[in-house]
Amino acid sequence: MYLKRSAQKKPERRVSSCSAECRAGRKGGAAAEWMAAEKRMNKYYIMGMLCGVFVGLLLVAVLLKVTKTDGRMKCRYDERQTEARGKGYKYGFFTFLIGDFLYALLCAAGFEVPAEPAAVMMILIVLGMVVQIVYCIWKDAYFSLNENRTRVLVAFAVVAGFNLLLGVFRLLEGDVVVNGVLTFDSMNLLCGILFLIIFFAMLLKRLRGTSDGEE
Amino acid sequence: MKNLRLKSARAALDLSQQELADAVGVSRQTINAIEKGDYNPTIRLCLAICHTLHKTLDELFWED
Repeated sequence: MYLKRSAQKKPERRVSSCSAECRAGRKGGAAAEWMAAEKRMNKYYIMGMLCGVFVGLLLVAVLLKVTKTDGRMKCRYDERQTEARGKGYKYGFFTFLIGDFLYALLCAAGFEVPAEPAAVMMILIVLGMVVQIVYCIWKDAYFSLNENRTRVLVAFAVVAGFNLLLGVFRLLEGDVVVNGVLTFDSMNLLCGILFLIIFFAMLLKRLRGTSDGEE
Repeated sequence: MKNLRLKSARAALDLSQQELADAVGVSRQTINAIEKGDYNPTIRLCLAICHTLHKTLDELFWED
């Protein structure tokens, strides 16, 4: 049922419904016109997506530049931070692997997971990221030597706010959970929660850092 | 084990952890971790610290 709902929303899935309608006896001229309109819509949809990706990359580039203290975009880490980050990646990777394995086991056992497979994969990726990032923050290895912490904190709060706003909006529209199944449209909510966790981990570390200062 | 010799050598030159960290190109937390004995630095970082504090490796890092 939820698949049918998303098929109504997304233009590329409507192509198949159009051909079904054509088969059902739609007149040739009107059907061709309808198909052309669909193709134009698909073109605009792809162009819109490409524009979104371009703007996203531009924002990330600006963010990387603005948060650095030396005007560079690349992060510089010392040897202790590099080591801690390596451990963080390891723990994040294994979290993802174990989660993926458990999901595969549940599927093989015939248990119906109340979420779309794409949503489950994204949840596991976010979970792995949370483990890696929180570990790095806790080991003072998240911020590079040439990074302004306050600016990063502000940027993350803004990103978390926007994603949560969009996520709640989609939740209220009823796109996130359809017929008791979590859909891929929950991504904004997930990203919002991820950035919120990162933000609070940074804040907590910062507060704790004031008492963990120079001896 | 705490590295008190490093701490006293730094204090003798009236350097803060941040100033020493900036001089050797690491974070303040890394210097703090070395002084507290939580992190074992590489020989490259040991040498950089020794050069900055005008000490030898033995004086700062050799355990008797």
